[in-house]
Amino acid sequence: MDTKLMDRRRLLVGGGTALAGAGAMALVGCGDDDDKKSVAPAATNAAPKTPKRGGMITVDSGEPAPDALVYAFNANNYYLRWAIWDNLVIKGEDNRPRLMLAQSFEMKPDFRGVQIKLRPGLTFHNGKALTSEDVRFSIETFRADSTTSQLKNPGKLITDIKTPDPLTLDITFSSPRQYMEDYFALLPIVDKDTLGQATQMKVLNGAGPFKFVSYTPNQGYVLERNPNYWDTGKPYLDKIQGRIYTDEQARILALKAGEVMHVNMATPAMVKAFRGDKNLNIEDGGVGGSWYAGLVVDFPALKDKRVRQALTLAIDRKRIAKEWGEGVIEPQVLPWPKESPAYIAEDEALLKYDPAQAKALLKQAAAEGITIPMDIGQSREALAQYVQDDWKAIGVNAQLNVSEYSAYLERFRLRKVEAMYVAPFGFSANMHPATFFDFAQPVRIPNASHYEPAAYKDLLAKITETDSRSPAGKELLHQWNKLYLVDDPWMAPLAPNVTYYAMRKQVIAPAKGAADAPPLSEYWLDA
Amino acid sequence: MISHVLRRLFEAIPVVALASVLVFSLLQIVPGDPAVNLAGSDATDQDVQAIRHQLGLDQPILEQYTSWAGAALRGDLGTSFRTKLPVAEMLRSALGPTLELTAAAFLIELSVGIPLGVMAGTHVRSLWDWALSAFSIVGIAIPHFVLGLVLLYFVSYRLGWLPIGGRVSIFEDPLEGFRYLVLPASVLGFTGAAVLARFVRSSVAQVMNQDYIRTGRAKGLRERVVIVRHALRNGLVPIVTVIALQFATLLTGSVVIESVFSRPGVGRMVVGAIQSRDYPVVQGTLLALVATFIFLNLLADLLYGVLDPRIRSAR
Repeated sequence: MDTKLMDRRRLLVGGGTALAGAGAMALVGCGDDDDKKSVAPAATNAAPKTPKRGGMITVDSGEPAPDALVYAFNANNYYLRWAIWDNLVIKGEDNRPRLMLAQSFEMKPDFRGVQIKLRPGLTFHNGKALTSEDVRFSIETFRADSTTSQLKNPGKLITDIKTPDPLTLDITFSSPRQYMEDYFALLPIVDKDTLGQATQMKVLNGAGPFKFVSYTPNQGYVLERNPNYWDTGKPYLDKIQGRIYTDEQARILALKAGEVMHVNMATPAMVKAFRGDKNLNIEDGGVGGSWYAGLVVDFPALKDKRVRQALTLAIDRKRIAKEWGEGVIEPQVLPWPKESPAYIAEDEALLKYDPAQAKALLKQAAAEGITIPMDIGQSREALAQYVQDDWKAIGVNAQLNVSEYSAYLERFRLRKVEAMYVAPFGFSANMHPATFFDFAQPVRIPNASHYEPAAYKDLLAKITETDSRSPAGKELLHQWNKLYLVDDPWMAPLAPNVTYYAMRKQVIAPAKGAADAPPLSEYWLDA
Repeated sequence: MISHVLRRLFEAIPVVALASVLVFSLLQIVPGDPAVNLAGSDATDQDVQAIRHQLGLDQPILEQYTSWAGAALRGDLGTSFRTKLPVAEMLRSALGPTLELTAAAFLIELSVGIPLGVMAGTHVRSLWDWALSAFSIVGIAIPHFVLGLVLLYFVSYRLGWLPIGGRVSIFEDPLEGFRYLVLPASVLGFTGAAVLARFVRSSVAQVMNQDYIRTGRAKGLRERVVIVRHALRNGLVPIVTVIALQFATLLTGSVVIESVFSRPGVGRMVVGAIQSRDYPVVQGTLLALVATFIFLNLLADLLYGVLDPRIRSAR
């Protein structure tokens, strides 16, 4: 994404270098911007033993994207972002916020605001006190018009920020927003005096578990333990050394040889290579989104929804999982993690591979033999070829037009894809489904498929306002799943976006709370 | 000699100017808008326009070029769109590792290519000659990245003798720096040595048939003296051009090697800059490389005179 915005912890993350290779990823499902594979921070080995202090781990990092360090989610910044900057809260496995810099985090009963108390005595790495004004600055910074942050839009839902004292914030939203806690679980608290130097990778100042020491372009970085971390006794490690590998084979060898000890974006090919290695642990972060074929609904041949239904039915996802996914991933049509309230098991059966039905639908729509140009960014041609082949089997001529990734990305971002494209998006199990619809480019409005009928807008509005775990919320999410898979598809699911972590046996990386962010402060070495 | 150098430098000016126009124009032709790249996924058209304005990309092309070229003349290569760092500073930090790699590879190329070429050139149609042919074919045919990965697998992973990726400056820690340098430099130097050996072989074989070689032998000179002092020195004149070009090839070849061996350097920097449409970094780096090639050509030209007094007197 190659570049490659950042990684998606399954949260708002999306896309990735991972399977296909290059690119940048974005937040929650941001669709295509992210080319790094979805990263579920859930890395890990169970930790039955008592953690030990000390030691250093080397991690496999992509080249940091300095312009996206704190502003966007990018897989290459995965360790840096979560080592240096803490949030007020993160989302726990129970989908509830867990406290970080906040001592208390109380949503108002009507979900029109939140009251936050900071922990007393918080400091940035440079010793400067962290106060409620820094939180205000962070909110203002990430929603400023001049900022290109993935947190901009949700940040604008905040209408008032009161800071009655250095430890207290009273925040008001424009309307009831139950899911705004997701926003705070993604917002890094930054230092206004040094933020400008972060893009130069010279001063990275936060209140996270590790302090920035040095960075060498194209080579790596060094982080050291923050002795004044708010969570006393943590972090356990003394140092984290990020090493930058650009060649996948070199990355594989580096982990197998022990030169690198933790990999956060293991591709299926890497997982296959690591299986059977007694020195390694592979952790499956679970489904965190989907690879899909986006269909532009106002392209003449795709205006008829029967054509889009046919194209969706014609895709053999088992073959894609077996061949493209190296037999490592399992086919799944729903984009949701299984722990998400939006994952409704029965809905998974709504869409099945059925070329005969696809042909019949094409016939009904008088669309046999149509031609569809495929706008494919570099590194995704392998997956696109499966789609092309499956569509050929039902008489659809898909023309594969591969272009350099940046050029493709520009068309995607500007919603200028002509007819069809292939992209990934990601999502976290711990996020409210409404967050997905706010952030993710392919499903929000506007989107790259130009799919925005009034009924869809209404549905998204209702989902936003409804408790996703209530029966009414479940029903709305079922409606969305059905619309997406069967009734009026504007994206055809191809393969689940699965995150894998690979690490040396001696690295203990607890899964607890990792769904929002990697708990780097809890990593330790069982030497 | 000084006037010759000055004349050559003067002649280089239009070449650099033309190169700057080409570099600048090529980037304008390449699809992809840096402003869109920087704007992020949630940017509106207004956001993109604001960034374009901020970066000066909304100015007429000619104005953009004159502004960039004028600054470059003053030694200011601009500021990276992404990192906000001066391009000259980025270039300086990337150039060291690349020159270190290139110089090491160059040494390997010379120390392997010239002796092999001389041996084959002085023993035409012998076992040496056939062995050189085999070496050259293999060296030229195997892509850098394949050889690099094979060596990484066996030498670094299987045998564990050398690190897989990264770099330690040879000046800060010579021993450790050598460990990180030896594989990438060998891979890069291997291909160059294969090419160079072929040229040396041809050149030396040709010279060995010259009258002055026969005369030298007839005078009773030792064979080593005949080869080193007469055959090699005369045979080297055309090879100097090849060597200068080979050095340039090594610089460009380092792009692949830096990626395979995860080393920092100009190659990886410029590839990253191209992907993110960081125009100032691409333009500044390519211009610096063009200047380097021109300098190397000038150096080769001057070496002709050193090696062959007839050329010097003809100037």
